[in-house]
Amino acid sequence: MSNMKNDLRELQQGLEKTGYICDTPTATVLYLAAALGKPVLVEGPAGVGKTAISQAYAEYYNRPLIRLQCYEGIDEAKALYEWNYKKQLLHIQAVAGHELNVAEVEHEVFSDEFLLPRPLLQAITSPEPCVLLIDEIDKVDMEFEALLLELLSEYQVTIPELGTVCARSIPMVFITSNASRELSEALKRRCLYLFLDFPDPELETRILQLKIPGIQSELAGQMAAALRSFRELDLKKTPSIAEAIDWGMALTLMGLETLEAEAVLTTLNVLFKYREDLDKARNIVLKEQEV
Amino acid sequence: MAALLDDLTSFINDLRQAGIPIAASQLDDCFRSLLLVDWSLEPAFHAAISSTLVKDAAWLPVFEEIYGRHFYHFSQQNQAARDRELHALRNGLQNRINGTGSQSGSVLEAGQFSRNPDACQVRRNQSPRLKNPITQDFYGATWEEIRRMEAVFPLLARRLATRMVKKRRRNQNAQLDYRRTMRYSLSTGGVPLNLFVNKREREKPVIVALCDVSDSCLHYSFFSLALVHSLERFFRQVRSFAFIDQTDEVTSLLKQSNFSNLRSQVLLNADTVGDSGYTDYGAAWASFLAKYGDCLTPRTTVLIFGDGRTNWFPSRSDLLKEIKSRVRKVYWMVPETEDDWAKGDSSMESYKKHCDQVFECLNLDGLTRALAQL
Repeated sequence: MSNMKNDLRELQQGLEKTGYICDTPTATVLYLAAALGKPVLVEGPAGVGKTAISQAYAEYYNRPLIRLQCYEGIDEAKALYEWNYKKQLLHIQAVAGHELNVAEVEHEVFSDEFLLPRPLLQAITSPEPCVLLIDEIDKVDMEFEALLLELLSEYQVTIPELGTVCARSIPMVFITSNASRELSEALKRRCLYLFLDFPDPELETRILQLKIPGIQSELAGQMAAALRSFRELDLKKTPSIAEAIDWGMALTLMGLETLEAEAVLTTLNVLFKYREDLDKARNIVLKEQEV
Repeated sequence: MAALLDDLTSFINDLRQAGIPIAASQLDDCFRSLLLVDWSLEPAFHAAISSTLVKDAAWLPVFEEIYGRHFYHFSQQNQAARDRELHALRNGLQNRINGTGSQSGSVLEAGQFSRNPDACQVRRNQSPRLKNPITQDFYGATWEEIRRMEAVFPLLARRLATRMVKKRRRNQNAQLDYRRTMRYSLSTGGVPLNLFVNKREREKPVIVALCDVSDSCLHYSFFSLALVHSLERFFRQVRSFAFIDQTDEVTSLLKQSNFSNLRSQVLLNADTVGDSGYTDYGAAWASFLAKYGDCLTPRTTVLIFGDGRTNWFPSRSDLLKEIKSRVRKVYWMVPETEDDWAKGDSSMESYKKHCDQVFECLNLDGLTRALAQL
């Protein structure tokens, strides 16, 4: 029990080494997920590092990362497994001339050899524990979500022709969602819930310093403060952390040590990708300049 | 030991009373997590509880408020006192989980969380019950509750948009793409295993939204206006009009303002008050037809947001009939149940005849459901 603090600190430091800074609540959820063997459901605005957290976790524990990018219309053939029917057809044609009984051929055709494992099946049949990332689950249909329930609670998959495949190792599962659709209660119950928001200026300063070699700490601090006020605007697309890093790169390349209004105005297009957003941000900067 | 365990008990009761859905298995997870983390680290304690009990970001503010109320003193205590309490509580929890085996969740449920209804009652009176902003009725909502609705609004708008995209995809009555299907069938020896279809774009309607912005359905109307405009990309064009007893176009106002100052922008700048200053649907129809009649075409879908309460002025449903005859569809979204339509000064009964469909939209949930059917 008393080690928990150390474990947590170790986890935080380890993740930081891979380039991901997380706060204590986030680290706690990761720690609990590993201890309880439960998936983590990560929600939050776009660009706060929902996907990056699983990548950092995989890197730190040196586990393979298996990623399932969800999209509308994804089905089990793309996510779970598929029979390699072309190979099956070829096989049937190849044995057509020989004297073989039908049952035998059928048995052969529905065996491991003709099975194409897709990410979910790969994740649970992997001999060493892996990290499974199910990205943007809110894009899939309800039916597909139901399919995930068996996998996430029992860590097993039922293939009608083969039987039930149990996990050889329990994968660490991350599920990300942009909350564009209400997820089912059943899925939510099975997961630990982690809501990631944009970092506070202090944390963002640290992120900028970690990610941008040679940035002046004063500049990083001022950038974080500016980003915070930008994110308070009513924008079509809020600047993400990745864009903030690009912005910092641009500013350091320009040789800045502190934030100057003129440089900000010329580099705003790194942060804002809509004309309306650009105008709003520019107005704020100009107003600030007058004061 | 009792202090903190009792606190945890009443805390969970309060969460449930606030409407946060917490299943028995979640309690189980929560206690297991609490046994795993070091409680002297407050963020870890907090994360263990919140990640197991709250699974929807919309509930987080409610959770934080209740958490603060229950565990404020916890962070204020000195280390020794806290450790003592924690140790006792940990033993208590451990016994509970061990002693009851696999059914711990349900036993905890029965034994601990519903034993004392009187205590619950007292607490309920002390703290005003928070309602779920999505399913709470517009009618009778306090300002604070309206603000809470505004907070979840962007989320709802996004969900509605996703639903519209999906519906659009499903609705396409597809035709077989013969050429593509044949080409791909070659790789399977001429057997067409995959069918490909031609997707046809459905024509987007022009939306004309008419909103009653009088006192009686003010909040309702603004949520509707904002929601309709958030769906702009699904329509060829959206034009919005506000009225009390005179109609004025607010399309450009809506484009300029954001959701938070929408209300004041429209009330200050739109010319919605005519001679009487009281809601008068008849006069509003007349001025709409006179000033903006040319926007009604067979491609137009008219959405009307209002309670149909005419202040005993003539309802002029003949004018609504005229509108109906010139457009494709007329839908009316009412913030009242059908039972109330015949009561008081409501003219919904006579307006209903000239609408293709009338939707009851008592709350944000109803409103999004109605709009999703467009």
